[in-house]
Amino acid sequence: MQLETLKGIVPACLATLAPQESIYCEHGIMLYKDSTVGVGRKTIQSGGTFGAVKRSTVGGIPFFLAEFTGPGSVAFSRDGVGEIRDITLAPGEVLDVAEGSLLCAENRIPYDMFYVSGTHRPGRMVGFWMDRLTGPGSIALHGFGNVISMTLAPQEKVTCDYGALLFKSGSVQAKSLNLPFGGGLLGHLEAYEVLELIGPGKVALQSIDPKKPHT
Amino acid sequence: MKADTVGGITPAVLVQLQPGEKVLAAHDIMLHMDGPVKIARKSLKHLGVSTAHLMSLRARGDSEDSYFFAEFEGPGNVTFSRDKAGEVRILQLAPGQGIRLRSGHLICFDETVRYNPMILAQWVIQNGQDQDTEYLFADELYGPGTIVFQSYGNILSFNLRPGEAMRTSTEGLLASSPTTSVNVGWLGAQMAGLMMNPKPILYLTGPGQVMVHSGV
Repeated sequence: MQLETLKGIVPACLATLAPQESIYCEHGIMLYKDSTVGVGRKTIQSGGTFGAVKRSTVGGIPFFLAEFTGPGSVAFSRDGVGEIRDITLAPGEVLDVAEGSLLCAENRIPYDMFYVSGTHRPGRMVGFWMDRLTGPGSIALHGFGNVISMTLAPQEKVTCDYGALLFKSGSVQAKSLNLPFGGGLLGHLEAYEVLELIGPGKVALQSIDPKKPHT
Repeated sequence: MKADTVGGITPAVLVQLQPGEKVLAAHDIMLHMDGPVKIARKSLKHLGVSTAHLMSLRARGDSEDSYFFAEFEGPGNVTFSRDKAGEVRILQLAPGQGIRLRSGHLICFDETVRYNPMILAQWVIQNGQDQDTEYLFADELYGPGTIVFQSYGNILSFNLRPGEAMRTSTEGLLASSPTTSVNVGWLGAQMAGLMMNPKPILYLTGPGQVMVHSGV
Protein backbone atom coordinates (compact mmCIF):
# COMPACT_ATOMS: atom_id res chain seq x y z
CA MET A 1 0.00 0.00 0.00
CA GLN A 2 1.20 3.47 -0.82
CA LEU A 3 -0.09 6.53 1.03
CA GLU A 4 0.23 9.98 -0.47
CA THR A 5 -0.93 13.30 0.91
CA LEU A 6 -2.78 15.56 -1.51
CA LYS A 7 -1.58 18.80 0.02
CA GLY A 8 -3.63 21.94 0.39
CA ILE A 9 -5.61 23.91 2.93
CA VAL A 10 -8.05 21.01 3.27
CA PRO A 11 -5.77 18.06 2.50
CA ALA A 12 -6.78 14.58 1.41
CA CYS A 13 -5.02 11.23 1.53
CA LEU A 14 -4.64 9.04 -1.55
CA ALA A 15 -4.08 5.32 -0.95
CA THR A 16 -2.89 3.18 -3.86
CA LEU A 17 -3.68 -0.50 -3.34
CA ALA A 18 -2.18 -3.56 -5.02
CA PRO A 19 -4.52 -6.48 -5.90
CA GLN A 20 -6.06 -8.00 -2.74
CA GLU A 21 -4.46 -5.34 -0.55
CA SER A 22 -6.93 -3.83 1.94
CA ILE A 23 -7.24 -0.77 4.10
CA TYR A 24 -9.92 0.37 6.49
CA CYS A 25 -11.27 3.74 7.53
CA GLU A 26 -14.16 5.30 9.41
CA HIS A 27 -17.41 5.07 7.49
CA GLY A 28 -18.34 8.17 5.48
CA ILE A 29 -14.98 9.85 4.83
CA MET A 30 -14.23 8.44 1.36
CA LEU A 31 -13.69 11.17 -1.23
CA TYR A 32 -13.50 8.95 -4.32
CA LYS A 33 -12.32 5.53 -5.42
CA ASP A 34 -11.47 3.70 -8.61
CA SER A 35 -14.22 1.40 -9.79
CA THR A 36 -11.84 -1.56 -9.41
CA VAL A 37 -11.66 -1.02 -5.66
CA GLY A 38 -14.03 -3.23 -3.69
CA VAL A 39 -15.91 -2.00 -0.60
CA GLY A 40 -16.85 -4.03 2.45
CA ARG A 41 -17.81 -3.68 6.07
CA LYS A 42 -15.34 -4.29 8.87
CA THR A 43 -17.06 -5.03 12.14
CA ILE A 44 -15.53 -3.55 15.28
CA GLN A 45 -14.97 -6.45 17.68
CA SER A 46 -13.87 -4.37 20.65
CA GLY A 47 -16.19 -4.33 23.67
CA GLY A 48 -18.83 -6.73 22.34
CA THR A 49 -22.44 -5.80 21.59
CA PHE A 50 -22.88 -3.59 24.65
CA GLY A 51 -19.66 -1.75 23.88
CA ALA A 52 -20.75 -1.18 20.28
CA VAL A 53 -24.14 0.20 21.39
CA LYS A 54 -22.45 2.50 23.92
CA ARG A 55 -19.94 3.74 21.34
CA SER A 56 -22.51 4.44 18.67
CA THR A 57 -25.34 5.84 20.79
CA VAL A 58 -23.39 7.76 23.45
CA GLY A 59 -20.12 8.41 21.64
CA GLY A 60 -21.47 8.94 18.13
CA ILE A 61 -18.85 6.55 16.75
CA PRO A 62 -19.93 4.60 13.64
CA PHE A 63 -21.08 1.03 14.25
CA PHE A 64 -18.57 -0.39 11.79
CA LEU A 65 -15.56 0.54 9.67
CA ALA A 66 -15.39 0.63 5.88
CA GLU A 67 -12.91 -1.68 4.18
CA PHE A 68 -11.47 -1.08 0.69
CA THR A 69 -9.70 -3.77 -1.32
CA GLY A 70 -7.44 -3.18 -4.35
CA PRO A 71 -6.39 -2.95 -7.05
CA GLY A 72 -6.81 0.79 -7.49
CA SER A 73 -6.78 4.10 -5.69
CA VAL A 74 -9.03 5.51 -3.02
CA ALA A 75 -8.92 8.97 -1.45
CA PHE A 76 -10.09 10.09 1.98
CA SER A 77 -10.79 13.52 3.45
CA ARG A 78 -11.88 14.76 6.87
CA ASP A 79 -13.35 17.94 5.32
CA GLY A 80 -11.33 20.21 7.57
CA VAL A 81 -8.45 22.66 7.46
CA GLY A 82 -5.34 20.91 8.68
CA GLU A 83 -2.37 18.64 8.15
CA ILE A 84 -2.13 14.97 7.27
CA ARG A 85 0.50 12.76 8.89
CA ASP A 86 1.48 9.40 7.42
CA ILE A 87 2.92 7.20 10.15
CA THR A 88 4.60 3.82 9.84
CA LEU A 89 4.19 1.75 12.98
CA ALA A 90 6.97 -0.65 13.95
CA PRO A 91 6.02 -4.21 14.98
CA GLY A 92 4.30 -4.03 18.38
CA GLU A 93 4.23 -0.21 18.42
CA VAL A 94 0.95 1.09 19.81
CA LEU A 95 -0.54 4.42 18.80
CA ASP A 96 -3.71 5.94 20.28
CA VAL A 97 -5.55 8.32 17.95
CA ALA A 98 -8.27 10.77 18.97
CA GLU A 99 -11.74 9.93 17.67
CA GLY A 100 -12.52 11.43 14.30
CA SER A 101 -8.85 11.78 13.29
CA LEU A 102 -7.95 8.45 11.66
CA LEU A 103 -8.06 8.63 7.87
CA CYS A 104 -7.07 5.07 7.00
CA ALA A 105 -4.97 2.15 8.18
CA GLU A 106 -3.59 -1.01 6.61
CA ASN A 107 -5.84 -3.97 7.18
CA ARG A 108 -3.13 -5.94 8.98
CA ILE A 109 -3.18 -3.36 11.80
CA PRO A 110 -5.41 -4.56 14.64
CA TYR A 111 -8.07 -1.99 15.52
CA ASP A 112 -9.29 -1.39 19.05
CA MET A 113 -10.77 1.54 20.89
CA PHE A 114 -11.01 2.73 24.45
CA TYR A 115 -12.74 5.44 26.41
CA VAL A 116 -11.01 8.24 28.30
CA SER A 117 -13.37 9.22 31.10
CA GLY A 118 -14.25 12.82 31.81
CA THR A 119 -14.02 14.32 35.28
CA HIS A 120 -17.80 13.87 35.75
CA ARG A 121 -18.03 17.55 36.62
CA PRO A 122 -19.99 20.29 34.85
CA GLY A 123 -18.17 21.12 31.64
CA ARG A 124 -16.69 17.67 31.24
CA MET A 125 -19.31 15.16 32.33
CA VAL A 126 -18.31 12.81 29.55
CA GLY A 127 -14.97 11.84 28.09
CA PHE A 128 -14.01 10.79 24.59
CA TRP A 129 -12.97 7.77 22.58
CA MET A 130 -9.58 6.96 21.16
CA ASP A 131 -8.67 4.47 18.44
CA ARG A 132 -5.88 2.07 19.41
CA LEU A 133 -3.73 0.84 16.53
CA THR A 134 -0.91 -1.67 16.85
CA GLY A 135 1.89 -2.09 14.30
CA PRO A 136 3.35 -3.16 12.04
CA GLY A 137 1.77 -1.14 9.23
CA SER A 138 1.04 2.31 7.85
CA ILE A 139 -1.68 4.73 8.87
CA ALA A 140 -2.74 8.25 7.90
CA LEU A 141 -4.15 10.82 10.32
CA HIS A 142 -5.79 14.19 9.90
CA GLY A 143 -4.81 16.87 12.40
CA PHE A 144 -7.19 19.84 12.48
CA GLY A 145 -5.25 23.09 12.17
CA ASN A 146 -1.52 22.71 12.70
CA VAL A 147 0.13 19.75 14.36
CA ILE A 148 2.59 20.21 17.21
CA SER A 149 4.64 17.13 18.11
CA MET A 150 6.67 16.41 21.22
CA THR A 151 8.30 13.49 23.01
CA LEU A 152 7.78 13.07 26.72
CA ALA A 153 10.41 11.59 29.02
CA PRO A 154 9.31 9.02 31.64
CA GLN A 155 6.94 10.69 34.15
CA GLU A 156 7.14 13.98 32.27
CA LYS A 157 3.73 15.65 32.21
CA VAL A 158 1.94 18.05 29.92
CA THR A 159 -1.54 19.40 30.34
CA CYS A 160 -3.65 20.00 27.26
CA ASP A 161 -7.11 20.93 26.18
CA TYR A 162 -9.40 17.97 25.44
CA GLY A 163 -9.76 18.80 21.78
CA ALA A 164 -6.03 19.41 21.38
CA LEU A 165 -4.90 15.79 21.57
CA LEU A 166 -4.37 14.23 18.14
CA PHE A 167 -2.41 11.10 19.02
CA LYS A 168 -0.15 9.63 21.65
CA SER A 169 1.99 6.56 22.09
CA GLY A 170 0.30 3.70 23.90
CA SER A 171 2.81 4.18 26.72
CA VAL A 172 1.57 7.72 27.40
CA GLN A 173 -1.16 7.86 30.03
CA ALA A 174 -4.10 10.23 29.52
CA LYS A 175 -6.35 11.22 32.38
CA SER A 176 -8.93 13.92 32.91
CA LEU A 177 -8.06 16.60 35.37
CA ASN A 178 -9.81 19.55 36.95
CA LEU A 179 -7.55 22.54 37.47
CA PRO A 180 -9.16 25.03 39.86
CA PHE A 181 -8.69 28.58 38.76
CA GLY A 182 -7.53 30.01 42.04
CA GLY A 183 -9.35 29.64 45.33
CA GLY A 184 -12.97 29.94 46.36
CA LEU A 185 -16.21 28.96 44.70
CA LEU A 186 -15.49 31.14 41.66
CA GLY A 187 -12.14 29.46 41.15
CA HIS A 188 -13.80 26.05 41.08
CA LEU A 189 -16.70 27.18 38.91
CA GLU A 190 -14.31 28.56 36.30
CA ALA A 191 -11.90 25.63 36.54
CA TYR A 192 -10.15 24.23 33.51
CA GLU A 193 -11.24 20.76 32.50
CA VAL A 194 -8.08 19.43 30.92
CA LEU A 195 -6.26 16.30 29.94
CA GLU A 196 -3.02 15.34 31.67
CA LEU A 197 -0.57 13.34 29.58
CA ILE A 198 2.20 11.46 31.34
CA GLY A 199 5.23 10.08 29.47
CA PRO A 200 7.15 8.25 28.22
CA GLY A 201 6.23 8.47 24.56
CA LYS A 202 5.21 10.60 21.62
CA VAL A 203 2.40 13.15 21.74
CA ALA A 204 0.92 15.25 18.93
CA LEU A 205 -1.46 18.16 19.45
CA GLN A 206 -3.69 19.96 16.97
CA SER A 207 -4.38 23.71 17.04
CA ILE A 208 -8.10 23.43 16.24
CA ASP A 209 -10.55 21.62 18.47
CA PRO A 210 -12.72 19.82 15.87
CA LYS A 211 -15.63 19.60 18.28
CA LYS A 212 -15.94 23.32 18.87
CA PRO A 213 -19.01 24.58 17.04
CA HIS A 214 -17.29 27.53 15.30
CA THR A 215 -14.84 25.24 13.49
CA MET B 1 8.16 36.08 28.12
CA LYS B 2 9.34 34.70 24.80
CA ALA B 3 6.51 34.14 22.34
CA ASP B 4 6.71 32.34 19.00
CA THR B 5 4.16 31.46 16.36
CA VAL B 6 3.76 27.75 15.63
CA GLY B 7 2.23 26.57 12.35
CA GLY B 8 0.67 28.36 9.43
CA ILE B 9 -3.00 28.31 8.57
CA THR B 10 -4.34 27.95 12.09
CA PRO B 11 -1.41 29.14 14.11
CA ALA B 12 -0.79 28.54 17.75
CA VAL B 13 1.37 30.62 20.05
CA LEU B 14 4.19 29.06 22.05
CA VAL B 15 5.14 31.04 25.16
CA GLN B 16 8.30 30.14 27.07
CA LEU B 17 8.24 31.32 30.66
CA GLN B 18 11.18 31.66 33.01
CA PRO B 19 10.77 30.74 36.70
CA GLY B 20 8.35 33.24 38.28
CA GLU B 21 7.56 34.88 34.95
CA LYS B 22 3.86 35.34 34.27
CA VAL B 23 1.67 35.73 31.22
CA LEU B 24 -2.02 36.60 31.09
CA ALA B 25 -4.24 34.98 28.49
CA ALA B 26 -7.87 34.93 27.52
CA HIS B 27 -9.77 32.15 29.26
CA ASP B 28 -10.24 28.77 27.57
CA ILE B 29 -7.75 29.14 24.71
CA MET B 30 -4.92 27.09 26.23
CA LEU B 31 -3.77 24.27 23.97
CA HIS B 32 -1.20 22.73 26.30
CA MET B 33 1.12 23.58 29.15
CA ASP B 34 4.10 21.88 30.76
CA GLY B 35 3.73 20.21 34.14
CA PRO B 36 5.59 22.87 36.18
CA VAL B 37 3.46 25.76 34.90
CA LYS B 38 0.98 27.09 37.47
CA ILE B 39 -2.37 28.69 36.65
CA ALA B 40 -4.48 31.20 38.54
CA ARG B 41 -7.31 33.62 37.89
CA LYS B 42 -6.57 37.31 37.45
CA SER B 43 -9.69 39.41 37.66
CA LEU B 44 -9.96 42.63 35.69
CA LYS B 45 -10.31 44.44 39.00
CA HIS B 46 -6.77 43.31 39.84
CA LEU B 47 -5.67 44.85 36.55
CA GLY B 48 -7.07 48.21 37.60
CA VAL B 49 -10.36 48.03 35.72
CA SER B 50 -13.08 49.46 37.93
CA THR B 51 -16.26 47.51 38.63
CA ALA B 52 -18.35 50.48 37.48
CA HIS B 53 -16.55 50.55 34.13
CA LEU B 54 -17.04 46.80 33.67
CA MET B 55 -20.72 47.01 34.59
CA SER B 56 -21.13 49.89 32.17
CA LEU B 57 -19.68 47.75 29.35
CA ARG B 58 -21.81 44.77 30.31
CA ALA B 59 -24.93 46.89 30.34
CA ARG B 60 -24.30 47.88 26.73
CA GLY B 61 -23.85 44.36 25.49
CA ASP B 62 -21.65 41.38 25.82
CA SER B 63 -18.10 41.79 24.65
CA GLU B 64 -16.36 38.54 23.77
CA ASP B 65 -13.89 38.77 26.63
CA SER B 66 -14.38 37.27 30.06
CA TYR B 67 -14.30 39.26 33.29
CA PHE B 68 -10.98 37.70 34.18
CA PHE B 69 -7.83 36.38 32.57
CA ALA B 70 -5.98 33.13 33.09
CA GLU B 71 -2.56 33.73 34.60
CA PHE B 72 0.21 31.26 33.78
CA GLU B 73 3.39 31.28 35.84
CA GLY B 74 6.67 29.67 34.73
CA PRO B 75 8.93 27.86 34.48
CA GLY B 76 7.76 26.03 31.36
CA ASN B 77 6.00 26.28 28.05
CA VAL B 78 2.38 27.16 27.31
CA THR B 79 0.65 27.16 23.93
CA PHE B 80 -2.54 28.98 23.02
CA SER B 81 -4.84 28.70 20.03
CA ARG B 82 -7.97 30.55 19.01
CA ASP B 83 -9.03 27.58 16.82
CA LYS B 84 -9.36 29.77 13.74
CA ALA B 85 -7.48 30.45 10.55
CA GLY B 86 -5.55 33.70 10.58
CA GLU B 87 -2.29 35.42 11.39
CA VAL B 88 -0.69 35.76 14.78
CA ARG B 89 1.15 38.99 15.54
CA ILE B 90 3.60 39.46 18.40
CA LEU B 91 4.06 43.13 19.31
CA GLN B 92 6.64 44.60 21.66
CA LEU B 93 5.04 47.72 23.12
CA ALA B 94 7.43 50.42 24.28
CA PRO B 95 6.64 52.22 27.55
CA GLY B 96 3.53 54.34 26.94
CA GLN B 97 2.94 52.88 23.47
CA GLY B 98 -0.66 51.77 23.04
CA ILE B 99 -2.92 49.76 20.77
CA ARG B 100 -6.67 49.30 20.59
CA LEU B 101 -7.45 45.73 19.60
CA ARG B 102 -10.85 44.44 18.56
CA SER B 103 -12.38 42.38 21.36
CA GLY B 104 -12.03 38.60 21.06
CA HIS B 105 -8.66 38.68 19.28
CA LEU B 106 -6.23 39.07 22.16
CA ILE B 107 -4.31 35.89 22.94
CA CYS B 108 -1.89 36.79 25.72
CA PHE B 109 0.17 39.62 27.18
CA ASP B 110 2.89 40.34 29.73
CA GLU B 111 1.82 41.24 33.24
CA THR B 112 3.60 44.58 32.77
CA VAL B 113 1.09 45.60 30.08
CA ARG B 114 -1.76 47.89 31.18
CA TYR B 115 -5.18 46.60 30.10
CA ASN B 116 -8.47 48.42 29.73
CA PRO B 117 -11.62 47.22 27.92
CA MET B 118 -13.44 49.98 26.04
CA ILE B 119 -16.01 50.84 23.40
CA LEU B 120 -14.21 51.89 20.23
CA ALA B 121 -17.30 52.86 18.24
CA GLN B 122 -21.06 52.69 18.44
CA TRP B 123 -23.93 53.22 16.04
CA VAL B 124 -27.70 52.99 15.94
CA ILE B 125 -29.54 50.60 13.64
CA GLN B 126 -33.15 51.40 12.78
CA ASN B 127 -35.02 48.13 13.05
CA GLY B 128 -38.59 48.92 12.03
CA GLN B 129 -39.99 51.05 14.82
CA ASP B 130 -37.12 50.09 17.14
CA GLN B 131 -33.63 51.47 17.40
CA ASP B 132 -30.81 49.10 18.33
CA THR B 133 -27.45 50.43 19.41
CA GLU B 134 -24.49 48.31 18.34
CA TYR B 135 -21.02 48.54 19.81
CA LEU B 136 -17.52 47.76 18.70
CA PHE B 137 -15.72 46.59 21.85
CA ALA B 138 -11.95 46.79 22.05
CA ASP B 139 -9.08 45.99 24.41
CA GLU B 140 -6.82 48.96 24.99
CA LEU B 141 -3.28 47.90 25.87
CA TYR B 142 -0.32 50.06 26.87
CA GLY B 143 3.34 49.06 27.14
CA PRO B 144 5.87 48.22 28.25
CA GLY B 145 5.59 44.55 27.40
CA THR B 146 4.72 41.96 24.81
CA ILE B 147 1.24 41.35 23.48
CA VAL B 148 0.07 38.59 21.13
CA PHE B 149 -3.11 38.66 19.10
CA GLN B 150 -4.70 36.87 16.17
CA SER B 151 -6.63 38.04 13.17
CA TYR B 152 -9.27 36.12 11.31
CA GLY B 153 -7.85 35.80 7.82
CA ASN B 154 -4.97 37.98 6.69
CA ILE B 155 -3.82 41.30 8.13
CA LEU B 156 -3.40 44.46 6.11
CA SER B 157 -1.46 47.22 7.88
CA PHE B 158 -1.56 50.95 7.18
CA ASN B 159 0.36 53.85 8.64
CA LEU B 160 -1.81 56.94 8.46
CA ARG B 161 -0.24 60.39 8.41
CA PRO B 162 -1.84 63.21 10.43
CA GLY B 163 -5.20 63.99 8.85
CA GLU B 164 -5.00 61.07 6.42
CA ALA B 165 -8.24 59.09 6.38
CA MET B 166 -9.39 55.65 5.33
CA ARG B 167 -12.61 53.70 5.54
CA THR B 168 -13.22 50.10 6.54
CA SER B 169 -16.20 47.93 7.38
CA THR B 170 -17.23 47.62 11.00
CA GLU B 171 -16.17 43.94 10.91
CA GLY B 172 -12.89 44.60 9.13
CA LEU B 173 -11.14 46.71 11.75
CA LEU B 174 -8.71 44.65 13.82
CA ALA B 175 -6.58 47.22 15.60
CA SER B 176 -5.69 50.88 15.64
CA SER B 177 -3.39 53.23 17.52
CA PRO B 178 -4.96 55.31 20.30
CA THR B 179 -3.97 58.40 18.28
CA THR B 180 -6.22 57.32 15.39
CA SER B 181 -9.75 58.63 15.59
CA VAL B 182 -12.58 56.24 14.78
CA ASN B 183 -15.92 57.61 13.60
CA VAL B 184 -18.99 55.91 12.18
CA GLY B 185 -20.48 56.94 8.85
CA TRP B 186 -23.10 55.42 6.61
CA LEU B 187 -23.02 53.89 3.17
CA GLY B 188 -26.10 53.41 1.06
CA ALA B 189 -27.76 54.24 -2.21
CA GLN B 190 -29.24 57.73 -2.30
CA MET B 191 -32.75 57.78 -3.70
CA ALA B 192 -35.07 60.76 -3.60
CA GLY B 193 -33.03 62.28 -0.80
CA LEU B 194 -33.34 59.14 1.34
CA MET B 195 -30.60 56.60 2.05
CA MET B 196 -31.64 53.08 1.07
CA ASN B 197 -30.26 50.09 2.99
CA PRO B 198 -27.75 52.15 4.96
CA LYS B 199 -24.76 50.27 6.31
CA PRO B 200 -22.40 51.56 8.99
CA ILE B 201 -18.80 52.10 8.00
CA LEU B 202 -15.79 53.20 10.03
CA TYR B 203 -13.87 56.37 9.15
CA LEU B 204 -10.33 56.20 10.53
CA THR B 205 -8.23 59.36 10.64
CA GLY B 206 -4.49 59.44 11.36
CA PRO B 207 -1.96 59.75 12.70
CA GLY B 208 -1.36 56.16 13.71
CA GLN B 209 -1.29 52.56 12.64
CA VAL B 210 -4.39 50.70 11.48
CA MET B 211 -4.78 46.95 10.92
CA VAL B 212 -7.70 45.41 9.09
CA HIS B 213 -8.29 41.71 8.63
CA SER B 214 -9.78 39.80 5.71
CA GLY B 215 -11.86 37.25 7.63
CA VAL B 216 -14.82 38.16 9.79
